[in-house]
Amino acid sequence: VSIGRTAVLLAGLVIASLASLAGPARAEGSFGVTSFSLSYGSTQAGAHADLTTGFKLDTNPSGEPYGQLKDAQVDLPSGFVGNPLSVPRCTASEFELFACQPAAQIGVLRIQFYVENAPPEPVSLPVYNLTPIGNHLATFAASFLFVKIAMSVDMSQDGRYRIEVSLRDLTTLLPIAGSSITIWAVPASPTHDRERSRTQTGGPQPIYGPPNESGEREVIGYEPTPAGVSATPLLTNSTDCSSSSPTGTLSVDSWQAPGLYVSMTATVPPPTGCTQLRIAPSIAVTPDTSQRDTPAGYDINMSYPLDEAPYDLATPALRNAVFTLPSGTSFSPGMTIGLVACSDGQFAANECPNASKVGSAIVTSPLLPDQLTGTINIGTPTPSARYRVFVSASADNVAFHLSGVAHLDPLTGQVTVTFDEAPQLPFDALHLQLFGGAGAAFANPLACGPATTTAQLLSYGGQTASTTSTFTVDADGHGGTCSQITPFSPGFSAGTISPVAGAASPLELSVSRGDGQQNLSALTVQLPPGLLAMLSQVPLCEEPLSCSQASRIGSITLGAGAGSEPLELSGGVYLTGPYEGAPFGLSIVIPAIAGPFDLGTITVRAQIVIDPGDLHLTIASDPLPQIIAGIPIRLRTIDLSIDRTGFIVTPTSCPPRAIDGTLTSAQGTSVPVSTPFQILGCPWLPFAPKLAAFTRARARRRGNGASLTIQVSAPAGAFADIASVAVTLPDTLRPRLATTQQACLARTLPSDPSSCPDASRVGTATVRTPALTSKLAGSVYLVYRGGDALPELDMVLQGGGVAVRLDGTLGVSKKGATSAAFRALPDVPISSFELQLPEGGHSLLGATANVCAKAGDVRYTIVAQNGDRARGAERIAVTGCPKGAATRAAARRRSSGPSAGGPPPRRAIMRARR
Amino acid sequence: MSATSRLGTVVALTAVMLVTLPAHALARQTIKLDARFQPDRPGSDTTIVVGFRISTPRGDLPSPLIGIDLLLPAGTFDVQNTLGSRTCDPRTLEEAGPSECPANAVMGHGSAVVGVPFGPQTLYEQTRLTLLMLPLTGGHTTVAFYAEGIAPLITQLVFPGRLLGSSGRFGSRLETTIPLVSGLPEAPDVALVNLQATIGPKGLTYYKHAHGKVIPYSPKGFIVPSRCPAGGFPFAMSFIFEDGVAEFVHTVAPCPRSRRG
Repeated sequence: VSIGRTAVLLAGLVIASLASLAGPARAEGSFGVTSFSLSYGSTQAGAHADLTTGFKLDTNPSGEPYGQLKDAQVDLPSGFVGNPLSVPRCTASEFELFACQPAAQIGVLRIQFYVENAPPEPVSLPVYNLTPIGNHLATFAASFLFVKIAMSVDMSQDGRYRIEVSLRDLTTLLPIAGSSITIWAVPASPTHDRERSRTQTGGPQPIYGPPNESGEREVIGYEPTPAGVSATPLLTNSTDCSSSSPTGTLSVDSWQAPGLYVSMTATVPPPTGCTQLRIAPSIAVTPDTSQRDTPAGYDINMSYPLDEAPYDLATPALRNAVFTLPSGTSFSPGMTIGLVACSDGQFAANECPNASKVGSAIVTSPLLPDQLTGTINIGTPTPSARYRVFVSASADNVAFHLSGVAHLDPLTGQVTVTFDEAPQLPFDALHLQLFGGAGAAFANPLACGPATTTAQLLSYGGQTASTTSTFTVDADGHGGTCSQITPFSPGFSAGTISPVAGAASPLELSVSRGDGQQNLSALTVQLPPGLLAMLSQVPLCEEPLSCSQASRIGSITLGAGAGSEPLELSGGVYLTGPYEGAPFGLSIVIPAIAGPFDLGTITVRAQIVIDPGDLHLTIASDPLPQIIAGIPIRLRTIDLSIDRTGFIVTPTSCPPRAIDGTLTSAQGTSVPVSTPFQILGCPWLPFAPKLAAFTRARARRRGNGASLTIQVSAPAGAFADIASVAVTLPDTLRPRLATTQQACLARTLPSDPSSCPDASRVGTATVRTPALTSKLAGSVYLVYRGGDALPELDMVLQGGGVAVRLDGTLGVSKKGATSAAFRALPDVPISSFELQLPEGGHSLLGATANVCAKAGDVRYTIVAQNGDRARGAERIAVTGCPKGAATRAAARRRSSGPSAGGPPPRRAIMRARR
Repeated sequence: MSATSRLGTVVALTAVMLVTLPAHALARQTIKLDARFQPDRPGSDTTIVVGFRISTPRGDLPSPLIGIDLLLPAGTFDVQNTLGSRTCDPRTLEEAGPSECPANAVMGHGSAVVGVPFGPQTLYEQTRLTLLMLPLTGGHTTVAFYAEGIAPLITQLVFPGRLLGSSGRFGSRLETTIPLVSGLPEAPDVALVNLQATIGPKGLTYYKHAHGKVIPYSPKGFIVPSRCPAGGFPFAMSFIFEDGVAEFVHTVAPCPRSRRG
């Protein structure tokens, strides 16, 4: 039960007992305020100056108010503060017994009651500092007869932190026409000794002069009544000289219209002399672990000493604080796991969700008996401020709200947290404790050594101060010395889900990095020969990239952040067209949603380089982002799964191989990595190639020579791929010296036979593979590398941006048999391979006989990637022979017998041999 | 330059080379020459049969020949001039081979073996030789040697020879320049290992038109000198190799048995 309520109760009794005498109050006009004043004893900022405020209600000509005052509230200007704890308090029971001590008096209330036909003389009453009633910051009270007038002191909850002095349910026994109150800034000051009441009911002890003519003795002064306690300031002027016109507000209502408030404002001169104010803050920042590259809880203790000497100027309140955390300390992505944001409304209502909490806060103010305790929460991002920090603390019905914005350097991730417009609640210590552990808000720098936090502070008085705090980052959190070179030994594993040869299987790849190691920057992975991507099956994502699901070939998950629980970010992997000179590329798209933060989309491009020799794939990523929206992602893991059905096909040869790679750190260190790769079941793959050969009837020894076309085909499906093809030509077709003389010398073609002279261009070749959409086609060059080397049939086949280098050899046995062999063919399914050696001036071959009469057989050996062999002979089909020529030739062969006419035509004879 | 002075120059150059070249170079290859008239009866219409084989001590390829001069015995005449009564256009010969040349341009046949360095191995190409009459060059009778092989490579090679006048102990001289060819670029050049050839009517059939008909006939060839010198008919051949070595080899065809008898 408040004193105010007690007063009302007592007033009610008085009203009941005197009702017949006074009757109900009458109101002929409207209830209102005639005047409201507010003044300080000094405008000096930070000075401890007495406060005087008063009002008068509207009255009729006889001085009777138009309504009986029920409630009154005065909102003091922002920045004006009081410290009721500095003054002795009178307990409620002492006050009820009129036994408050002089030391508890804090001012004088002059109240003017309306008494009919009585002069409007105000009654002066001592005002005491009571032990707060309820949840109020302070309670001031005065008593008149049985009437107790209690003033509750609170702090506004509108974020302006104005002091509110309210009087509730005032007496109706004696209608109040006006009032003024003076609150002493330093109640115990001797300057108030003669105003101080010796007793609660008495008032100052008067000093009477000698009796006058009528025998009356006038009061010529008052006896000093010392407070008996040391002087301490109760009131302090605002320290904000920038406020142009501070205002106070009076709000009143009447018993006749409760809740219908009438307000009036009063302007006071702004504070002056702010330059005389001083601040001397300091900070201490301590992580809960000093281990590098580790999530760490940070204790930020700011000391802000307040000058509480009664006759000095007060320390100006802190207005802005900018904390710049050590270089290398960054937001820890792990913080965002399960994190939600606190809305502004929730923050204002002290209802931030627990999942938005990242730390705790303690505010210590000399004005409050208890520390304000609360939380640090992450605020809902706004378009202008992505990272918002809410600090809220409360105690004693005082809520302390501090809203800050973290600016993360987009290049370094260095964290700068800015708190603007701190409440003008004087506090001498602010302790922000950001949680540690896996979900810590911050992660320690990767580099060892001193880590310095800087605080730039600005007071309401305009004073600035810079203060720092340094701790040392070490290797293990226990002072361990860091090596001069940050290690980089990432983990790497890769492989197909299915180990079966020639089968479709997802390809999975994982890269990991331990805490304290150099950050991952780039990744290059070289797949073993034969581990294919069926690029033809996927519609390419075209530039500008906006990839659809049709182009998706897999997924990726990044683990970001230091500590045991990195943030996982998942996205898709899309196949693109040419990129950075490679025929294909990847677009790895990862929406970076980290808790309440939409950090945008991470897009990483990669080349898919196809080796022109064995067609193995090399995937080389662009540099991975190191920082996203100011948060260094401290990449810990990369889990890549190329899992589009049928996209990855395993080799058809089974020797032990490896998936190799190179991992590069952000510091530029590259390390080779490798993981064994071997598949099984190659021997069970069937092998069924076919070969056909053609020439034309006009094949000649001289002039345009002879053409020869060789076609090799293989069925689609799970068959072993072709490893080599060797053919031996019949005696009817032989190389022409005139052409071999024109072979391209190897020195002209380190990689590109197309630079060879035209005279060495002896044919064309075309390859079709289900792995690629486009056929591969190109010229065939006769190449000689000098010395004892056999001349070669080299070709660079191109299509769809893919270039394949196939090298064959051209051999002539001492017996005159001409052979060509293409060995070390890539482990790729080949739908068809066609080698055309045309007629012409540079024809490689010439005919030694009439091919219409006897074309001869091409003998071949085709070896599979799994070691199977297909051998046989295929009669060269001749086109363009005159009608009957073949019949006549066949007749001649039949008549001359097999020994004269050669073997009969036959289809390929294939024998598998393992 | 007259034929005499040209021969003198060749002999002089050969002598200089023999003097100036190192011994190991001189000893690099051995040449065995065989030449004779067939028939060898003095004054008769004859065919010159000539052949040589070049061997090396280790059995490897000799240095490629770049020129050979065949020196015939003095008194060997081709005055009847029916051998090579027509000429073959050199371009036709290059492009289409001797089959497109007039039959009456053929002056002889033969064979040759050339070694073709071909990568790790040497291919020995058997070629068939055809000697054909080309149009006069500089007033000299010009003969084309057309060599064609089909195994193991298909090769065609044409090199010209000029029939020059007599000089001293020897009569007419067939000066032949052999172009350097290689099987593969910048590989060692093809080397002639042996050659057998006939120059003369033996085995030749010419044709002429008479009374609207095509009549085959045998051409007249060289005339064997009317007197066989003591020791036989002297033949000689100079060989100039790519490596700078020159060899002068002579041989003697025995006088006809009847004369000796």
